[in-house]
Amino acid sequence: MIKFILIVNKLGQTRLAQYYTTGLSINKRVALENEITRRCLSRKDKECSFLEFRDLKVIYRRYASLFFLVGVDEEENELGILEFIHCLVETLDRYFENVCELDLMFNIDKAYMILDEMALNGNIIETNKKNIIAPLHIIDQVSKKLK
Amino acid sequence: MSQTYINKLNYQDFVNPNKPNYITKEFEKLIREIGDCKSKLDEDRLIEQQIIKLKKFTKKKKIKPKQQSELVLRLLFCQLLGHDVSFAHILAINSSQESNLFYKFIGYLAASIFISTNEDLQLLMINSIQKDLKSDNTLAVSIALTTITKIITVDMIPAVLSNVLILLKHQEPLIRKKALTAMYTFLKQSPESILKHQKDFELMLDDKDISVTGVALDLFLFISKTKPKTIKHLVVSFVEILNLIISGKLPIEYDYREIHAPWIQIKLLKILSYLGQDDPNTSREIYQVVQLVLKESEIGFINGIFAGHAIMHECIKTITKLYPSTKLLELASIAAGKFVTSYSNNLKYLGITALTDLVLVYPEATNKHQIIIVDCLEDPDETLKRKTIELLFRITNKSNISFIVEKMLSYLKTQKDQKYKTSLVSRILKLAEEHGTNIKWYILTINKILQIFGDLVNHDIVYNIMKLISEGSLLEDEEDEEDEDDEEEKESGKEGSQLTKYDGNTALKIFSVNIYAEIISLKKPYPNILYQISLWVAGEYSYLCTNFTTEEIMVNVVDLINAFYISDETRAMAITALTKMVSHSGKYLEQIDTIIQKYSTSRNTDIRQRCFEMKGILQLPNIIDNILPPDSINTDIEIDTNLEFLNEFVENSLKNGGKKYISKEERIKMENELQLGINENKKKSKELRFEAYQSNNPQQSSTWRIPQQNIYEREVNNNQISNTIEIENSISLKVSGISQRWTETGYSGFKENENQNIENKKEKGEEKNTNDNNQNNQNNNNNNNNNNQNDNNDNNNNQINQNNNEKILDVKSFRFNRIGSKEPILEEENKIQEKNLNNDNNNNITTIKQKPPKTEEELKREKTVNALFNGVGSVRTSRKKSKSQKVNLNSKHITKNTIEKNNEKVENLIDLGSEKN
Repeated sequence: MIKFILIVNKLGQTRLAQYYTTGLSINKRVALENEITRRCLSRKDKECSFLEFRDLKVIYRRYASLFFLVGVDEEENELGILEFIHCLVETLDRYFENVCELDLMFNIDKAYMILDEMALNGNIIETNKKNIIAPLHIIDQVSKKLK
Repeated sequence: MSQTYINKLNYQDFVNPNKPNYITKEFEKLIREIGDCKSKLDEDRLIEQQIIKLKKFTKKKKIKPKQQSELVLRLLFCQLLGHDVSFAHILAINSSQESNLFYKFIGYLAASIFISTNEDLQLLMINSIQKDLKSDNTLAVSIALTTITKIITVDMIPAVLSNVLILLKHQEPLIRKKALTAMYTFLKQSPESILKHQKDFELMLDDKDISVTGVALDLFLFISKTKPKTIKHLVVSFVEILNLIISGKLPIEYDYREIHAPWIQIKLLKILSYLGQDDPNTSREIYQVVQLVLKESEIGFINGIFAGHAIMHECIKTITKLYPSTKLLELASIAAGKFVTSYSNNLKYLGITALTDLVLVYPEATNKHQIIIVDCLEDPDETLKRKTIELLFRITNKSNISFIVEKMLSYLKTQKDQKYKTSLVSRILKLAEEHGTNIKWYILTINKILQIFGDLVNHDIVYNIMKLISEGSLLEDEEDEEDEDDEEEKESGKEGSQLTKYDGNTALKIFSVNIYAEIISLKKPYPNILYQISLWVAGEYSYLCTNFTTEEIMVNVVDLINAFYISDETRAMAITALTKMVSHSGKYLEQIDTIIQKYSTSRNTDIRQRCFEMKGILQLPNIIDNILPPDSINTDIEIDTNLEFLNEFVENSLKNGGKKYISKEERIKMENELQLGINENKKKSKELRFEAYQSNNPQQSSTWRIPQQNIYEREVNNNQISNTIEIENSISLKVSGISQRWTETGYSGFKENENQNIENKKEKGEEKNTNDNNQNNQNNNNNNNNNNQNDNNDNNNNQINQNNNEKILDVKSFRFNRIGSKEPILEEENKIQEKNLNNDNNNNITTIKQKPPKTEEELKREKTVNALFNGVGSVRTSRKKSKSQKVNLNSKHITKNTIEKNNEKVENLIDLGSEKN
């Protein structure tokens, strides 16, 4: 099961955070994010994309300035998550067309929505990009009509 | 890693971001500023300013929906960057209640993120969620369902369950899918209530949309973990779906890098592994499809893409879990081999993980890869190394232990994490203990570990080593010894020849004392724990040492004692070791005097103590051998736990009138009862003491006076005595008996008693008996039992003692009993008392407890009488309070039993008192 999905930049600033477990206070959350990010950023390219941290496993992947970090429990398939991150990036890229960090910031709502279409309850629910993006287009149409 | 995406996702490339039309200038400014922040500090300052601005907005009564949704997004940023925005959570709720789909979406999104920190929000949202679930707009329903998965709690399930169940049959796959995710949330929170609807989502397995099926699998994965038996009949369906996927019959959109729906395959494999666990029949149904999936997954091996590997890894995991099939296990170990030998650290890591599980069911799995596995320890990647260590722990056996322990130790030296190091050291020690075949190797290895990591080691190891050396034997592994340790044998040829002369145990001792004597001679700042073992061994077996003479060892130990790097504890042990060596060898060094002199004044009491011990022992050359016999650890000392040699002494003192020992439990019980009695007496004494003044018997009156004593201060006001007597006279009380005992200095009777008690302890029983009897005759004419032994007398008066023949050791109780025994007691009361004695003591206590609280009238009465007799009481309390309390206790049952009888008299007395006033 996925415990959280984080997108941080290379300075360690959080750009998106989705937790699938409850009961984490803001302070604890920030501390956790800082610690994990610090550890991931200090790892070298050749080293494996997994990090065991307390009782969870963090699987991370770097795309230019952005790090995608996913915390999972013991039984999750690590490579499956690694490819899921890639699938997420591909989807973001398809929706935003050449996605960049600022895209995610300006469209934080859309970024969250894409994530919600792909994973809920800590499970991967959809990886078909067409299915993922379809509801977003509807929202876009609605928002374009706004004055 | 895909190169294309690295190029695309470029931080500098924000000249033309996809900027939505609804973004205001202010919002854009904020985002750009956040993007420009170079440090966390800058960021925090920026967000704090932003929050102040936002607070102003939230105070406005009316906010336009557009502005509101923008504010919500800004709040979202603040929360994301770790700031509390609970002041404005309500904006998100308001926004979710807008009719416009976009505002609604923003509202729900923000609320579901805020909710994790604010549980009150959930209740506010349930209404709009219920409304939106019934909406005609597919997207609105979808958003509501998404929100449910994030915010629902057990209490809220009934409010939405019926709606969600209807939505499971919605025509849109998107809604069916989302409804299933909502069901999953319910299932996780309250499995029982949702399993009733299992049929509903069993149907979803056959959904024409594979993504809906994929979500349904999540529910079954959950059930397969908790209640696998309830879905065994579905194994066929799962196998069928899996077959369908790998045969490539799904729409092409579900392919990911030429692998068909990899994540759904993984889910199915997971479910099957849980269902086949410990179930041979189900496992047999699964073998074939797993083998097929494993074969297919290889096709997807493309550089940089791990989807195929992911499935293969899942297959290995499944095979490990299923009922073992040799064929599949072999395939799995081959597959794991591919991972381990791969170029990529990711795959190596997973290979090691897979092998860690696999060796448990299939130990041969690692045979071919041992060297690669050990190489992983040399990799700079920390995650990989830790995983490898785990695997090594599992594959260690008698043949590779020395190699693996060596590798682990060299890995351990590179570690910085203290906590991890500590746990690892203890695990290595355990490993050496479990698999070590050779005592020599074990001792040398432990020494090696202690030299470097001594500070991290649990001290139990010290005792293990001591026990091993004192009891173990070298004979068993002498054969191995010759093969393995040829060099060592040659080095210490002298030792080798001697080995054969002795039995195994002595040989071991010689071996170890040589090693430890050497360690002492090295004079390096090793951890204390190593020196402690060394010193113990040297102290015990110095006479066996072949490489050093005892004098040499002693000189080294003396040097060690003076070394700065050892702790006081070690120093103390060194002094004892020195004592032992002197006593075993009979040789003495001049330096020892210096040591004794220097450390006799040490600040550490232990060192000082041991110095004095050494000094003392050395002065008694005749008995040295008895105090510290050689090899004392193996000499059993018989310990007489019953202390029988004291029996005679005890009997004598009992004969001489000593009291019998009362165990702690009994004493506690007694004390509790005492406490009860005292409390009870405090209540009653005030009422009952008046009995005395009405009686014509002066001795009877004294019985009742004593309870008063605890009420007043013990200070005696001499001036009051005459008043007291006046009062007493005035109520026609005969004071002739009292006057004998009440003097100006207090109550002489008690003093007499006290003295006698002390005397009694010293004097012999017979004398005491006569004394007591005399006294009893003097003071207590009524007590029939007094003709018996003094002890019986005690018991009669003290209801706590159950057994009349029991001797009481407790001095305090003895004292108050003696006092009690002297108190004159009415014959009538004495009988009642005896009756009580026959009853169970506990009953007495309960009756005391059950005594109803005093009525107002009684209290009033007490007050008046108290005032009246204040002077009398103060004179009488010349004795210590504690004593008087016990006296009170003694008369407790008497007071209790005569309460009713006395009530009338008390009333009369009050009349008298008021007259007097």
